[in-house]
Parts: sequence; C-alpha cells; structure tokens
Amino acid sequence: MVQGFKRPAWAVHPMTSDNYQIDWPNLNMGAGLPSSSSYNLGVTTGQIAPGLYSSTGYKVRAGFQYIHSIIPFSFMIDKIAVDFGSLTVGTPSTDTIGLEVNSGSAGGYSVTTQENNPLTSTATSTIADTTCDPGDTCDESDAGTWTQNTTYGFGYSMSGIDVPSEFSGGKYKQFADISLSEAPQAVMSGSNVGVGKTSTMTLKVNVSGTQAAGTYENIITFIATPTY
Amino acid sequence: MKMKKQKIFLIGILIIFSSLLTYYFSPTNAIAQSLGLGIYPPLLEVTIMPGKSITQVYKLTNSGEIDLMMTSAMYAFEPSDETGGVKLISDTQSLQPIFFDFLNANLKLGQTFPLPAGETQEVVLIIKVPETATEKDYYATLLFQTNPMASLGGLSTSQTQTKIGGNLLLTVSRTGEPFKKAIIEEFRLSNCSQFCFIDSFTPPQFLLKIKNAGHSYFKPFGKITLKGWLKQEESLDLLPQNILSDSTREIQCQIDDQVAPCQTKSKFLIGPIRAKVEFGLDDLSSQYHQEFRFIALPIKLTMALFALTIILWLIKMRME
Repeated sequence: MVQGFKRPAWAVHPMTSDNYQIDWPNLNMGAGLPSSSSYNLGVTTGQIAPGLYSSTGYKVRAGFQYIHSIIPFSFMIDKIAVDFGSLTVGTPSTDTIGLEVNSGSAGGYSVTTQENNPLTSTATSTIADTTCDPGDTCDESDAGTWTQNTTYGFGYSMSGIDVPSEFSGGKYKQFADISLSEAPQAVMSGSNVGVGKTSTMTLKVNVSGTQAAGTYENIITFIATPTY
Repeated sequence: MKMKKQKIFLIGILIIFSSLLTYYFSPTNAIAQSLGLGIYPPLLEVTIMPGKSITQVYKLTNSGEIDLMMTSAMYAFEPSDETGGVKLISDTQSLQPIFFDFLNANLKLGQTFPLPAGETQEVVLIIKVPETATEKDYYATLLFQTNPMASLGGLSTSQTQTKIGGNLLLTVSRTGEPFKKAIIEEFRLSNCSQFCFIDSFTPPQFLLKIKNAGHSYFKPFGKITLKGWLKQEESLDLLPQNILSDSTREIQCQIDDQVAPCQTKSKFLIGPIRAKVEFGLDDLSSQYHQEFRFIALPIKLTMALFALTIILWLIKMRME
C-alpha cells in the first residue's frame, strides 16, 4: 500500500436513497452492491427461467459472475497536485504520485494518463514535453533514457506493480497531449483480480537558460477502467 | 510590568496561531491529500428488446480525503487489446439511438454534483432502447470524473484529475438469442507453437485465443483437458470472460476459485500428451473443440544425469 493512503471502509448498504424510490412489484432494476457477510456474486434480473425473455423483454447481469468479492473497483492517488517548487536552470526538479488500484470485483483493469497541454505559464510560455537524451529518445508512446542535465523538458517515469515494462531502468516518456489529440497511454494494467496494487509515477522537469520566468501549470488526468 | 508580560503572552499566542494557520492552509500541505474513487458495479450486461427500458443503480464512493465536485459522461468503447482492456471513444455516434440518463430527482447525466469525502452517491441509470434501434451490440462506459481544483497560484504545479468508469455491454435483440459464432484462433503451449517437447517436471501452460465472429458478445464455458501415455489426466476450467463481437480475447482459467493463467498442476508428465479444448457459447457444451499433441520428456533430469556421469568419469580417470 502506498504510504499516505487511507484504505476506505466499504460499507454494504441497503438499496435506499432520498432521491428515488424503488417500485419492487415492477422491478426491472438491479441494485448497486449485493449484500453478503463475506462475498457477492453478480446479480441477474429480468429472466428467472429460460424462455421468459419474450415476456420480460430484458436480461440484466451486474458484476462478474465468477468473481467473489464485495470490493468495488477503485482507484486512488496520494496527492491532488505535484509541486515542482522553484525551477532552476539545468537542475531537474522531480516529485512523485502514488497510485493504487483495487480491482476486487472487476476482472482486470487499466489506468491510462494524459495531460491537457504541456506545462504552461500565465504568459503562455510553455515547457515542452521532453524528448529524452539524444542517444535514446522518447515520445508519448515510447520510453527513453533521461539522465543528462542538459536534456530539458517535462516527462514521467513509472515503477511498481503492473506498470509497462518499457519503464524498466528508470526510463521516461512524454505525457500524451490532449491538445494534440494524442491517445492516453497505459501506466498500469492487470488482467487478474487484485487489491492494493500500487505504483509510483515520477514527474520530472528540467529547464534551460532560455526558459521564460514564470509559474507553470498543467493538468494530468488518470483514467481507471475495469476490463469487460 | 504585568501589562508588558500580558502583551508578550498575547504576541506569543498570535505567532503560534498564525503559524498553525499557515501550515494547515498552505498550498503545499493542501496538495498532499489523497484522492480516491470507487464504483460498483464495474460491469453491466444487458440483453434487451427494442422499445424496452431498464434501470440500474450505480454506487460511486469518494474514498479520498477531500470533498470533490464530480461530472458524469457516457462514452462508447472498443477493445484496446486481447486482455479485456477498453479504449474510450469520445464520439458517441456508435451508441445512437440508445438513450442514457439518470433517474435521480436532482441529478442528470452530465451534470456536476458534489461528493464529500467518505460519502457514496447512488445514481439510477436508465437505458431506453427505441423501437427503431438496430439489433446489435452497443458497448459503453459510464465515466465519473473529478473537476480539477482552482490554480494554486505562485507554484509551478501539475494538478491531477481522475476518472473512473464502469462498462456496459448492451445487446439489442428481439429474440434474446442473437447470432453467435466463435473461431479458435490459437490453441497451443504458451512457449511453443509446433512439434513441442516439454520437460516432464515443468507443468505445461496453454495459450488460448478465441475470436468472436458473430453479432453479439459471448462467454466461453468449457475446459482444457490433458490425456497422457500413463493414463495421466487433468483438466482446467476456462474462465467465462466476455469476448466482444469482431474481437479476439486471450482466455484465462479458473483454478481453485482464482483467476489464473491456464497452467496445469501436473508434477510429472511423460510421453505423448494430447491437449484438447472444448467449450460452448454461454453454456457448457462441446460445440467448439480443437486439440494438439506434444511430448513430455525428463530433459533436465537426463542432462543432469549425463553431466553427473561425465564428472564421475573424469574423476575416475584422474584417480587412475
């Protein structure tokens, strides 16, 4: 478990709400979380015997029938923003984000990431996404080596459970840029059920002497989806 | 004198109080808070007639330390790989003319809503299928996303935003029995494609890829069986994972109630072995089957004995 996370207490609630009322006699609805003391199975409604489809008009199955877990599919990060501090020319600034996935009730999962745009100042100067060291370059889909302090830009690396092997050896990539319509890139993925799968994203910025002074910002988006 | 002491005391209290305020409300401290979301159910499978509608309750939980503002959206998706990954498609044209919305009194699909830390929001998703809807599969993801916080000001930062989704597999069919067809694309040992020899002491692992050549998603129900020379027999249950239309999926197995690679537990196999896969679509049958053979030999043991013999022979030669 990544330090700083507080594991949630997942409660098993009855199906009630102030916002709606369930009309049981005309049920065509599945509840969100089936209750049990130790496990759950997916809920099937709409067809209680073969051949009834023609009268009900629907069959519904919620959850994975072969997974016995009450843990919702969940995703956590350990901070809401990364602070690079004061950027110094030729001195890389790094910070990390801890990621945690619990795919207890899902078959598997994928976490992808992208940025809204490169780090941009209020005066619209930008810190370009890194292309890594000249001998082993990188872009948003391929990782590369970034060890030289004369290599400038913004990028990230991944380490931990279920991270792509391309990051091995501490390699870096660019974030996929939404403003350039680049597709989000996987940072974690797993095909097996599991809880407490953790990884660490290291973000790195290095600026050159020609970089305009200012405060630079952008938004990193994480998208967590279960498998089907 | 007494007044002076009181002044010093008051100044001291003010300094401590302002220091605490600065610490707790500093941007640096604020950003080191966790952000977490949970969703249930992660998967919804619906087969429905044109002209019908259904509802489903979703639970979205804020398991982080800060209150959130959330927004919801419905995306189409397609398989991104052969392991069940999804690729979201912002253009929802492929979901037309299916209608999605929330039935909550104060919340509609796409509207922003608050989700305090530790709280769970229930939303009632309604799916309406018009009479005119084409009979086919519609694959969608109900996505909830956090709204980024306001600029922290004065700091160079990357803010984070998280999105979490649950997948919907929707089959529109008048009969409830759409055309389903499978093709076994690959069935072999995972580390060998043909004329395979394995070590007798290494449990064989299988690679099974099934393609959906029909009009609707299905689950394969069946097993892989091994039959050996010395009446050795073992079977592995296939995991009934969804295979979407026009896609291929690498199937895993269910071993001791766990999702696992299709690897046997055999401690020792020898001689020619026949491996057979057989499955039905959404029911247990032998509708589809394929087999191949491989040979298990004690390769490592033989090599070890050979090496030992050479060493002993060399020792004997030296002693003579």
